[in-house]
Amino acid sequence: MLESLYYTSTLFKVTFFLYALALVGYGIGIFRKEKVFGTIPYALFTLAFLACTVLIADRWIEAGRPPFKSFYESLVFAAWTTSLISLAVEYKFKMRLVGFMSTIGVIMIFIFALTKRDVEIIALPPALQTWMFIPHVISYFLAYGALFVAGLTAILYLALPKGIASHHTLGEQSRIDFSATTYQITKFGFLFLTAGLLLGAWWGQNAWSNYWGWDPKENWALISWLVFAAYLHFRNIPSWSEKRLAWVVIIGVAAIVFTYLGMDYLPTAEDSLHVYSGD
Amino acid sequence: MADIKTSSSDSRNHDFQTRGFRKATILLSAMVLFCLLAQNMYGWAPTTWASILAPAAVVAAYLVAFYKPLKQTIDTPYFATLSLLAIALGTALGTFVSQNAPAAVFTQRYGETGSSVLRGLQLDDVFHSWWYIGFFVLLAGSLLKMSWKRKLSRENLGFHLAHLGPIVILLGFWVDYFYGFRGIIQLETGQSSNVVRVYRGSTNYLIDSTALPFQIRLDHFEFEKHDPDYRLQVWRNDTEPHPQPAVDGHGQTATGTPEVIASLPLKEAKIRHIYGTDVYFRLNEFYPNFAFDYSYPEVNDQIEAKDPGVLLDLKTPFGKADVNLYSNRPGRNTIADETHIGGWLEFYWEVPEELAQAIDGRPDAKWAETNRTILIGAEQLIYYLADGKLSSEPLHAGRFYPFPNREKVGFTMKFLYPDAAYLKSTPTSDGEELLNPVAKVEVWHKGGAGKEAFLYPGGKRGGIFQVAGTDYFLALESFKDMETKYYRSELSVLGENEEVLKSQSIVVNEPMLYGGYRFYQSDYDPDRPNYSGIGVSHEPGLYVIYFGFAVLVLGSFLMFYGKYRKQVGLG
Repeated sequence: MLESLYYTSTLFKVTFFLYALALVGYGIGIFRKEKVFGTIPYALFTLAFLACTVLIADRWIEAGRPPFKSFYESLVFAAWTTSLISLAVEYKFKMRLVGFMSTIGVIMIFIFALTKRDVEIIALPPALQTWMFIPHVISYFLAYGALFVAGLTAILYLALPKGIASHHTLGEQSRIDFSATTYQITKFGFLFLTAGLLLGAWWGQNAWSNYWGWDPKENWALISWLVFAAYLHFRNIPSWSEKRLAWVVIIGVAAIVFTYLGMDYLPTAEDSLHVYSGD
Repeated sequence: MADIKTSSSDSRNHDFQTRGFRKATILLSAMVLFCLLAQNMYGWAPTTWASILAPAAVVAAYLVAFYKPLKQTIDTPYFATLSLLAIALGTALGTFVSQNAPAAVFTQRYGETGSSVLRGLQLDDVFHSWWYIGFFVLLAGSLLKMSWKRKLSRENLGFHLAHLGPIVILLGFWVDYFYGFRGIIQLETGQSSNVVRVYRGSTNYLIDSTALPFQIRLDHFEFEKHDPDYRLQVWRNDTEPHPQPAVDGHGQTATGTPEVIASLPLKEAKIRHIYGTDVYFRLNEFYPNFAFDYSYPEVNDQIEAKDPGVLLDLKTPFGKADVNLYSNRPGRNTIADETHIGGWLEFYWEVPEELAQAIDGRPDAKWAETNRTILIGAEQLIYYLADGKLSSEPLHAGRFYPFPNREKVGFTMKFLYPDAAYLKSTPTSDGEELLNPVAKVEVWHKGGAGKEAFLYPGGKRGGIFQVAGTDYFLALESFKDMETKYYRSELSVLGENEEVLKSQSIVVNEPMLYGGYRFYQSDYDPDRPNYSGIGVSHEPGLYVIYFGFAVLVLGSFLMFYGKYRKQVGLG
């Protein structure tokens, strides 16, 4: 992995370093109540996010195409959307803990990206040379980022079912209800998950004359969508506990992770059209 | 915050919830059992009315037996939620078991017993199984009834759209399932056909064929690779021993294939380092079309003819190349190529014996059988032996000399020199076009002296530089031009009398529409430059599905973020 890090661009190293710095800041910040211990890690996280934006833009220019083709590129973009959603959630719901957990997640994504580093920038195959590629990927990764953060707040709910007092400089002190926050983020993620799924079907029709091919990746995308749809409906069952709801979200995130990373383990994957190159 | 959850979970609610889930579970499980029975009966029964009536009776029996509980339960959140999860579970099962595989492949994968059980449960074709479709039918019923029950109002608009959208999509799916098909027409340039080989399930298995009401002709096909993008690469040899299959009963080991570690843009003078070593390198110069610039001292006659040679710009059917021939070096003074240059090209400083005999009018018969172009350096003469006849003319630098019986194949002499030691060659690039890329690199160990090397493409057979004392080597390669940029077919739709009804060029993502059918660029074969695979689809429900997509997305948005959304609850 160190060899891989050695050969990555300076921008990658800087971004990685800033995320690590933000994590350290949050690590200290969650034990301190002073405003400054909330502001500094948030600023560092924002800085890392901006560096990640430049990293993606630089790749876009160098490759001469949207940088979403290879596994490595998609992981960097997943880190970017996760950061974006996490920063927004932290800003809106005043949750320093979410920033802490998100930076751990983002760093793990970056480390994983190092193991999948592209030695060579690959060109887009004909099927991906369409305007639909960009909205489809952006919808999905916004959904993935949001639902990943929702998964984190669901875990926080299980750990702190009574909520926690907000320690953030950006708003008034208040009590945080992690379950309600999970629902708000999930709604947002679900909307983009739906859009991504349907845009994918539309694109599939144009590229392969098939809006739905029962491809393993498509099927697992549907499964993820169904689990989150079930979550939204579970909320209508009055006595269905918040704890169980949190678990449904975590299962949904697990389904997304499997959709993203687990296709190689399926016996039907050999037929799949949705394979990341460079893995 | 708009939130429907309350923290109450009293025992009455808990009982209600348990009963609700239990009832929904029973209804869905019973549906699966009845559908399995009906579909297996459909498969067992001979193709008569019985094969339709028997399974229909089973399905009807389910509806009759469970009509009342279905009516009571179908619009509850328990039923909707469990239906969603049941579909998720069914879909997951379909990814764990091979789908639509030919019988022999399926049996090979799962064994006789395993494949029988899986087939009995319809797990070899989950997505066309009656129980899987049954989940969707019941979910559609649930969505429809839930929407029906709710008043149509501005506040409920999002709810209605979000719940009716999936029904519209399923309706389009249903129309396509029964009235649509998807397949391929495989054509060579100039061929026409109306026969479509039809796919089932995944694109791997073709089951049937159908005829279009018109012909499709492939007028032209072309594909292009991406432009090359040469990079300086660091490769690592895989020196670990890997066990190989024991062909002759003895275990064998072999090293694996090398791995590319870094692929670096061609930035001249930038110093690079190979990780984990003390080796540094830099690109000193890149030549897009590598060639040598030759020079020789002006006064030749003062130089002794120790190692005489001639530099020729040889023009063959494959292109032009600089070639040096050396009179005193065995094997390096002749090019023998009957096919391309029509005989032998030879260089001597002094007239050789066989040529002297021929000049004297007594040629060796066997020697004279071959057409020859002989350059004599000391005399600056060129002798042609063509079809047994000898002729000669002065040899001048810069003039083009065609070979006997050839017009465009020949050579231009650049230099004639008595001693190769005085010939100076300087690397250069003949233009900027990427015709013969070569990189000049300098490699050194930390604190050591630099060593220059020329790299040129071609993998291990090409010009690589193995870094002494390490597992690494440097190479100049381009991977990008191995990838396809586009492939395009020009199609014509032909009527009954072969008249052209429509012509269009198609590429991936840009299909042609004609008569309710869509034609896609879906396949090509680099080894068959005239072949094209044209995907064909007929999907009468497609626009219904697209409408359903729009309704679902709009409904979800209004339900979550609409101005007039109902502030409590989703269902």
